[in-house]
Amino acid sequence: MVPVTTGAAAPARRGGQGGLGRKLAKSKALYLMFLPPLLYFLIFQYAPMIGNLMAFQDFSIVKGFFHSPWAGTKYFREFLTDDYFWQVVRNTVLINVYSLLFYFPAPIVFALLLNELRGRGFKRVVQTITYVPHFLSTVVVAGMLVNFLASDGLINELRGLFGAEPVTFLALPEWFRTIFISSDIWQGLGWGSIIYLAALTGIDPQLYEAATLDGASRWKKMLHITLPGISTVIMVMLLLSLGHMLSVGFEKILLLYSGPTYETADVIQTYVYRRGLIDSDFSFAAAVGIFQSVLSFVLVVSANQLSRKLSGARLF
Amino acid sequence: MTSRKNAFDYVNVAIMVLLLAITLYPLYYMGIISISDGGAVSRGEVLWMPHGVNLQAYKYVLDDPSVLRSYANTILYTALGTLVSLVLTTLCAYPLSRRHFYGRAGFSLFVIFTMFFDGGLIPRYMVVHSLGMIDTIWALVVPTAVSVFNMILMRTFFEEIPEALHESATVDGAGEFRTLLQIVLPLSMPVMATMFLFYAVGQWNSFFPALIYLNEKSLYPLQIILRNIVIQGEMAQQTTQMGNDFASMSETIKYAVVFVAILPVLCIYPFVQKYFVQGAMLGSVKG
Amino acid sequence: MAKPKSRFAAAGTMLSVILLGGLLAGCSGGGSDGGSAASGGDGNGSGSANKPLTLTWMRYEHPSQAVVEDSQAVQEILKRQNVKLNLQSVPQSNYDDKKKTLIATNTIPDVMLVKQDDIQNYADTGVFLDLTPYLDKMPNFQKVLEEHPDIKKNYIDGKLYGFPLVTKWDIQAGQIPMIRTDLLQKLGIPTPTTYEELYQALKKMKEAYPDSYPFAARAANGLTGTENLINPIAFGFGSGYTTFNGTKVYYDPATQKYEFGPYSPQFKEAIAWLHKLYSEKLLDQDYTTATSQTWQEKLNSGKSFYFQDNNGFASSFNPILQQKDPNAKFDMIPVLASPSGVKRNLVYSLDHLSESYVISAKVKDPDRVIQFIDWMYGEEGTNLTSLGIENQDYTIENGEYKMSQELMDKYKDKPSPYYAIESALGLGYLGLALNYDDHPNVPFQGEDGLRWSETNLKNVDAGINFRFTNDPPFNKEEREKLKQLRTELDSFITSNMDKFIIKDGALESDWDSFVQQCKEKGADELVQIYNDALARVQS
Repeated sequence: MVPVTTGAAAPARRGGQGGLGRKLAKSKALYLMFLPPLLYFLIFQYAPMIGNLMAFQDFSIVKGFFHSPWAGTKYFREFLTDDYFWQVVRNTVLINVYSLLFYFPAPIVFALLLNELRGRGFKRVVQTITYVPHFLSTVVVAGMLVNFLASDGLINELRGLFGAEPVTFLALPEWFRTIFISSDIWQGLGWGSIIYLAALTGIDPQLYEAATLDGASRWKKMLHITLPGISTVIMVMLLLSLGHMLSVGFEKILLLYSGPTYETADVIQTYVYRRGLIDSDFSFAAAVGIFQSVLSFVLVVSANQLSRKLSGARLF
Repeated sequence: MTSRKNAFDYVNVAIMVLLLAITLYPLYYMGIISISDGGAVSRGEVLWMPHGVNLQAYKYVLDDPSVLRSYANTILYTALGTLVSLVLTTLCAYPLSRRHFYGRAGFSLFVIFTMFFDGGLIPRYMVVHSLGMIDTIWALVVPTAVSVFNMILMRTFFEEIPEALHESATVDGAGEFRTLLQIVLPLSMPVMATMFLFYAVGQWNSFFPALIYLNEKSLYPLQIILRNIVIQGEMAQQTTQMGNDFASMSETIKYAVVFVAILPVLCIYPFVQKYFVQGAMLGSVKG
Repeated sequence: MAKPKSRFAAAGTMLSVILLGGLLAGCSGGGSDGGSAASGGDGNGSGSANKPLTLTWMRYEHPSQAVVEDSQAVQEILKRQNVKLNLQSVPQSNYDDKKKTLIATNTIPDVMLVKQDDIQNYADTGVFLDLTPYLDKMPNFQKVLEEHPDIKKNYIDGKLYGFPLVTKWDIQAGQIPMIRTDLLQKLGIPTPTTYEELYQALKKMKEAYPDSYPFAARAANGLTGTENLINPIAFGFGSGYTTFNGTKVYYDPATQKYEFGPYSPQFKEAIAWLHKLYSEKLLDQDYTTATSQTWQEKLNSGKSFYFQDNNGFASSFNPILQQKDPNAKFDMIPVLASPSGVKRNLVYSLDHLSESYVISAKVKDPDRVIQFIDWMYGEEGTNLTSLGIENQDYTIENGEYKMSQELMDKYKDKPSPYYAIESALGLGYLGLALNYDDHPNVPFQGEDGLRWSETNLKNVDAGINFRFTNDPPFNKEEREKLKQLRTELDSFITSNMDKFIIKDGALESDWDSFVQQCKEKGADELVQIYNDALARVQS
């Protein structure tokens, strides 16, 4: 595994720090390469993080960050002891769990099916059309949903053809998650499959040929060649999705929810948003943000360690 | 490979057709509304066929000089932004994909940490402001240059490249930069094409940085102008006055706007598709 | 070849410098401001002619009326007042985010349009110029203050920070009962005079048109569909629901105090009435998620026949309906009497006192800016930014405003001539006006629209119509308390109110415990805070 050449002789003369020096030397070009992104992260991500101090303070603009009086854990106490807050947390997590169960596999399955399509022209058409919904803004999609799901909307009319009574879908809490996730799938199916299609191209075709010679069926090929071939990508995507467990795209919810559906639709972000409407409250929002971040981070780190042991795929 | 079609193929095609129908109908619906007469649309008469076909809505949208100007702006921002993002992301993903990169785990954590913890709008604004980037194109392109999500995906793909290839490059005397440019990148066309697509679309659709960092209306990108038009139907009428025709046209205009906005992006995909070539690495590992 | 360690050192130093720079910038609260500061007009020592006063002027842009940077008003203002306005417009849909960022980083332009909430929240940070010391130099604004006493509610601790948008003349609209009078005639239904009769009328309409949902409602003006539905009905029954910004208390002109709606039996009556309509499918079953768009669709297409919302809309519904049915017509019916004999309607406030222009505390020549603003409130400034240029855009004949024919012809082919004119000339509430006269809207209103406006105004004087009022100002502790109370109470009330309207039997079984829980969550305190603040203003 180790390259034969590359200055094996010189570092030995550097004395005590031979091992470290050598390792650094091998990576020096990489450090140079990594420098611009490093600067980027420091300037645009880490420097602003000082702003998270706001969560612990009563923020006052003119006084600036370092001088605003510390309010300790006041905001954290406020929402952590609010029963209603835990309800919205529960809603957020539930929506994400359902999302993981249904929304996550959909593009994968779709990519696999697409891969099996015979006609190249047809395949292109399907791909191009199914990825268009991704570009529609949330406002437009929500508007259409409200339209189609109305008591006299398209969906109820179609149901009426089969003799069913109209249902006010958007006023029923039990329907909310289904509607929300289904529309996510509608929008994300095509676009989400792109990354898996790219991964599929990396599978060695010789493996398929060998399998055919062994008499394997298409199903067996998919199970033993295709899926394992893209398994790393799937695992990485899964880990990344876990990072979102505590947040849900709130614009769509804001446009679709209403009083009757609060009990399932109200999520952390909409709760914070309404609070912000009542009175601008940077510190409150920042505090909730930290809460979400910490939990998500812990979740992803644990999942990462687990994934490392089980499959080797990991984020870090 | 055999080309015998079996039941599975037919089922597959059937599923695809169903998907197409479900995807197409809403798009079709928006299309026919955008070319229909406003009054008919307001009465809810347009469901399967357009009524009173006209291009008034499109005329209205395209007549607005700020729409055309912002279109040009967005093309520029997208080109520049995608370039900057691709370069920075590659420079980040490649080192992190090399196993002998000393400090790799630490740097990975350093980068991934930023996915969870964000400084917030105001502090970032102050950083951008103090760098003098307000009201410049750089504010739209630099602060959001690297998406950690994309970077991780790119890194994953880079890691799939066999170490043997790297070794043989080293034997030939290539340093890391040359290896990256001459070996890794050519083999990574599928993921680079994907990243190109992701970043280009992301930049095309972005409006929030422009909203916050730009004050000059002449610099606004497309999405800011268009969003406002689209949302007007929702926000409308807090005052009493509404020119009569205008009120009825708002739905048609809304959807005309949608098509105006997504048309160019639809054209990118066919270009990108040809990079999704199977077995790109075939033959490179032999011998 | 270079040693990696020294490279690190170099990189490290560079990084620290940059970080430090960023920190320092953050510490001092932002360096130079985003907009150019106003340059002085005296030219002290320069000896040349007066340089124009340059002001960066920011407001939101409503999608219907584009903000034109060199509109007629802007050009005239330069000519007449030697003030150059650099207009910065931000789409209204995201104006809040932009505003907050600028305020929070102390980089606001010279003049910026904000909401009263923003003033309340940030007045004590010193970002806005305190206008109070300048007020005695503003004769025109003093007159405005006298004519619009509610401006007093904008004062924070006795100081004024923003110049509010007031209205000199406008079409009066409100949440008035509007019904398809042609159908009343056709089906032989007498015009309803009470809510009970209205119910009967809607029932008959449903019988004639089984697929319809006669009563349509929508979300609007920042209120949810539920709030917008309940407000006029509860008010009409003698109670009330929310303030203009959604707080669940309302100002009752009968007691001249703020009250909590659900405590009163009339409120329960109103909800019961709504429930009756909902369960008999007379009320739009999707009202909770109804948008302005879907609401208009229903009324435009003959799916619904009654609304109690901004009556001005009927002017746009009627032509659309008449394309299909020339007899169709929405018209106003007189105020409906509640079961307990109350007769009153909610109408919109003409002023926009919750929106004000603030001046940056860093502005360079405050006296000149103040003088200019005062001119904007005076007759000349008002006319320029409301009507245009006299004898070119309009004439006043016998005290009556008349728009010039050339102006009308120039824009008559646009989708909305009224907005095209306002935009090009820089007029109006959505343009540059601080004191706004909406006569340009008259030629486009149609005689029905004008008649309704007159009726509404008469009814205001007759004590039947009452305008929405603005909140009184709160001090810091009150605002803290309000935040907590409202966070708890609002979600609770919102999710329950629909239950009572939609679910059969819910009103009978759960109302009392609902009211009890409201009490426990602090409804009394909420009302108290509002009344205390109100008392302070009135004293």
